[in-house]
Amino acid sequence: MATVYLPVEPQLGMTSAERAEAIDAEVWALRRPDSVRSPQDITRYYYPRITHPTTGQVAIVGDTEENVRIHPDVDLTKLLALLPEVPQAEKDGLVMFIDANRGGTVPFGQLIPSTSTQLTEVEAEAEGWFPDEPL
Amino acid sequence: MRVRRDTAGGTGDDDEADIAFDSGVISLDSAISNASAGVTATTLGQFLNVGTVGGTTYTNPDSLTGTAIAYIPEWKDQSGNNANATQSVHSLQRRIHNGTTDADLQQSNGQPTLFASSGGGFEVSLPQLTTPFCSMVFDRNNNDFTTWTPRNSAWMALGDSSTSTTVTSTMGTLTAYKNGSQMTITTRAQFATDIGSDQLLFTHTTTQAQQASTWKFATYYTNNTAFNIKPSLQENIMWGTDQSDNRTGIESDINGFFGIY
Repeated sequence: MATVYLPVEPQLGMTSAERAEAIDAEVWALRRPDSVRSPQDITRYYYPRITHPTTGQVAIVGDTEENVRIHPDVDLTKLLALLPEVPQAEKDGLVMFIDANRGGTVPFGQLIPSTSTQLTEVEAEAEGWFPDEPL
Repeated sequence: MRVRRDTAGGTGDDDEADIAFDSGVISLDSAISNASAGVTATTLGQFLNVGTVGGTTYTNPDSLTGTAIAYIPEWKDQSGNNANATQSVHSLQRRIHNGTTDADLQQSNGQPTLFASSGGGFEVSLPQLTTPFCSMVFDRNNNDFTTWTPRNSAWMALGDSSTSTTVTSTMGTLTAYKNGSQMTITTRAQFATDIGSDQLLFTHTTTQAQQASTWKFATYYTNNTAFNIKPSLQENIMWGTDQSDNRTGIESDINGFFGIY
């Protein structure tokens, strides 16, 4: 297990919290896309998220070594739309990579865009993400 | 409660269904309803394709390729207030079956239990609680633990290795009972030691009124998995007003069902 903290920037008129939630939901959709999901499903997100205690920014807490299942019917449209800062060539590469692994798995670390800030636990702590541990 | 089955990417993966009580408890014979599209199973045992348990062979109407692990995304409120507790993050969900073929639900002292391997607790929206009063049945490992957290920086009862005497945060004064006996609380470390690691009935109340908010239970407010109650959680009842006058009766009822002490 290699925990990674991925702070999410506000974009597309969404706050950091809103965009992080939307991206997290689309990561879950890699495994359970809308086409097979039921309206009654409670499970909607892949990873936990934490909020920076002073800035309010939200980070997705992922695991770079976790193998994410890719559903054969996966649709990347929503996920790609949430990543406007990612170069088109990189998006095209992601689409090809996912298409090649439909029905299989891919390490989460290989899904993280090059434009994303990645923090280790030590780095996240140094940047003040956990000052709210029990006093 | 609601169950999500994990078939490791096979047929029926991540389908969900509500499961009903079977003679007052959750069992493999519990009927399922409100299931994902394509599910034809009618009992939890079929939904998970558990095989043969206790002399009963459960058929496999959904054609799963193996026995599914069962996770709990929702623990439904039985009070009539629709305060259902949810965990929508798949990696934080507790489980009630470990995916072993021919095995029963996970149990503690003979009753089904919600096991947390690395997962966390639940979130629930509650109205204003004048004097929160809570009874829980759980057992924990040697990790730190917290019971309820109503909002940022607050917790109702917390134990870890610290010598801090602050066992609650912005929650007033804690009064706690373990298996019907009042606990003497000095430090967080002593509190954690006194709680122990066996199944117990834990009743606690504080003096601080709380505003309506999203509460978490059996996990810390940041979802920090170090502060989960592990490994199992079997009962969780929250009142909005002090029930100290009814405490012995409440504890007698719960203990009568679980047979803890």
